[in-house]
Amino acid sequence: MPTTREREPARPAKFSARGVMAFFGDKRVLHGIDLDIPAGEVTAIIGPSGCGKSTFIRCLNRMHELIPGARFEGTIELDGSSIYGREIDPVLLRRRAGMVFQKPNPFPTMSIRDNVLAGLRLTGSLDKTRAEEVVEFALKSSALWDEVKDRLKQPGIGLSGGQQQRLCIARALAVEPEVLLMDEPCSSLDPVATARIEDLIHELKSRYTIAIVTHNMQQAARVSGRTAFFLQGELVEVGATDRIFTAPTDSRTEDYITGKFG
Amino acid sequence: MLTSTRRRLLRERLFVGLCASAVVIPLLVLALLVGHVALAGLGRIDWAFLSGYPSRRAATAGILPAMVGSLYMIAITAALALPVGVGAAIFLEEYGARSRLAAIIEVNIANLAGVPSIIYGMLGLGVFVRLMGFGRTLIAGAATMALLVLPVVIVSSREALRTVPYAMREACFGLGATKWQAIRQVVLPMAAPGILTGTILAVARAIGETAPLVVIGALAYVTFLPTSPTSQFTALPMQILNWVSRPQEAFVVNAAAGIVVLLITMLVLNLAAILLRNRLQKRVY
Amino acid sequence: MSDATVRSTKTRRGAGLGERAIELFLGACGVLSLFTTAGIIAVLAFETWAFFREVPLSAFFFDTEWTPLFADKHFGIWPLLAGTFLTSAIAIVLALPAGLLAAIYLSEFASARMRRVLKPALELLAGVPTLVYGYFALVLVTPLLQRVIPDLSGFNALSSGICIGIMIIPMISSLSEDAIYAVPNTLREGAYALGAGRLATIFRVVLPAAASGIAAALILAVSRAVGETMIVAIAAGQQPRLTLDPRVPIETMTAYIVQVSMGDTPADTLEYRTIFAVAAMLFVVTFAMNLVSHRLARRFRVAST
Repeated sequence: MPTTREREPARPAKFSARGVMAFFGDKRVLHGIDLDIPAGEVTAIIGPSGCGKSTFIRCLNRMHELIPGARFEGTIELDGSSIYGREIDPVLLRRRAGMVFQKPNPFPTMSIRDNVLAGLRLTGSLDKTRAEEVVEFALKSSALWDEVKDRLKQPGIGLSGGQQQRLCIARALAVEPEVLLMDEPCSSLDPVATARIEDLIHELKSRYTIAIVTHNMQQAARVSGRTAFFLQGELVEVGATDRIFTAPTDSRTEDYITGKFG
Repeated sequence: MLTSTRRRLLRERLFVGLCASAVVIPLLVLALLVGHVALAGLGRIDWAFLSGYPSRRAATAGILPAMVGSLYMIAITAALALPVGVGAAIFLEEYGARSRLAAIIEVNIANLAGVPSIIYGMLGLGVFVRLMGFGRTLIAGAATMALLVLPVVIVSSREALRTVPYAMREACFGLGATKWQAIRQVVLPMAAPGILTGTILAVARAIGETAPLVVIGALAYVTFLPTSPTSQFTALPMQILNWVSRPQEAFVVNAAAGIVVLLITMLVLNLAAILLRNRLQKRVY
Repeated sequence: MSDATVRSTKTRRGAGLGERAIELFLGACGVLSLFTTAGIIAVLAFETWAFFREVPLSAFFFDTEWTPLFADKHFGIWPLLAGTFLTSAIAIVLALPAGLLAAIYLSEFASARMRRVLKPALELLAGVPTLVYGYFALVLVTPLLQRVIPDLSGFNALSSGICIGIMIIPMISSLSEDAIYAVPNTLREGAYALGAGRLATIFRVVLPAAASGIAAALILAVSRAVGETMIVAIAAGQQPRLTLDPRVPIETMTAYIVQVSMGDTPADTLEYRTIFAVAAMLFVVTFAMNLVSHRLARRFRVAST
């Protein structure tokens, strides 16, 4: 099968996955994925429910292995060095690749401010003199600052769903990651909140490498420069988003984006 | 940059070990407790001990009146607690679902479950022994114990009733059965294994309860067997307490032997509950 | 079901009456539990009232000696409260960390299979009759401790407290484990994704989220320790003493009730009524703790759903 990768602009790969297989117990859910996540760009991963797209990005920050019975095979490199070696500490990896989840999950016992600082506190790397600066930076970066700057001491779970999700993005940014992995970040939000998160992604893409999993094709088309299409645990096609949505080379991709299934 | 921080991993492992020891050490203490008592008491247990009456001389003392008193008492306890407990459970689960009364009863039962057993003794003393004039008899002890185990019986019976799918009740109603007919003929038989198991487990715990018996004034030195619910009586825990409170070593050995008998009795009751549940479950389903 | 029941409305009405009677009976069973509570309060209040007609409240709450069985009578509750506080405090100091660590192990580290085995095994500790723990404290724990602490008395608060502590470990571990287990996994994932290690995740995220459930467990365990009777009656001594020294004989509220009950104090005397006054005190303390515990537990259930 002719691969379309060589036609893409040659950006260096931030993440480079080869032969990635993921298992839950005996069940294999990814069947050998080869995919690069280029630096400084938004890569969208689309596909129907259960195609393994969430599992794939959870392999990128080694969250997959936290599920009892989950297993991983293959290689993934971050900036050219393997992240699955024996001597690699997944905890340190996760500080370089932050994650945003389907449902906003701010820590219920913490204030807005403490939620933003949670990553630094939890990792014991908070410089107290810089705390206010970090809070302001992260909340401004996540476009939440103006809405919450007067109530930083209030609990994070008091915010609306969309605000909570931006708080979770701020929380991830405060750790100063290089990559932002977003696992269907808008699936539990209303259209207005979704639009705000998408605007935010546009603002963030110049500073971070972003991989976003979404089951919403319009969203992929709006926010990403590259799109990968997953089906039943396999990577069907990857390429520039414009091309994937206008001239897919694989008939299954075409069927999916034209709404024939999924 | 991604290479692991050994110190963090070491700390984590130490902490996991600490947590594991918090599970293992109490279990070892339990083993030590049982082993120590068995070692001290097992040699003392023979037929003469089991069939003998209390004595001033430790070597000839037996536990027959205590054993018979305990078994007699918990039989009455079960007979009192089972119907009332199941009745209350049915009321709360099937009838009272959202009523204010049911809500109050529910909170009340939760609170009663946390009342110290010695307070139940005071209740038994005030109501059964004195007000109702039962005196220091088996029935007063059993009634006190019944009130003590009632919250547990009610809670476990409710859980058993909840395992019966609502579809079973609907099937009965569809056939024209009344609510009670559905409960009596379909729901209760299906819930019976769980109810009986819960009741036996609750009563098995009551057999080791000492404080309420002390307070209502169960005797500690009895040389006759109880003949009716209105007999005066002693019970295993009272006999053990009597022995353990004496300074002579030989009586402490008797206490250990009594404890072994008590623990074995509880174990047998627990096993019986499990066997009963397994058998009834086979029959029902 | 017979045809008659289906067709005749008369039999239906008869059945309806029977149904009503049964419902009333079942309701009565439920209401009995209310009478139990009312009975406890009535019995305690009645005798306590009689007690306080002879002994002024000030003597009960401000005297520092408790000697109702002696010729020179004093009715200060503080020595008994101190004894109860001392044994309960020792028990909690032991059981809280142990129970909490065990709960963390069961919910965060143990496999599902181990959890299924270990949790009931640990709960066996709470199933052993307290009389047996009393024996254990007197015959084994005190002599062992005397090797380390030579001036430990044969009856003391320390070994009783330790044994109460062992007994309530499963209470703290089981209820806390339920609370910790109920913390949504999304919070753990949120912490891990930020690069937090296991310890930071447990201590900074999971435990705070389960805090009210753990507090409910703790208070219930304290209540159990305060109401514990046989261990202290057997192993702590019968000497009401206003002290926090764990090495000497003391007396708790519960042990005093046992002491009088086992003696031959005649009914309807002032000495006899003291146990009701003490029991009333004990009931108020434990009942208040149970109420707080249930309220906390309910708040936790609401918050975690």
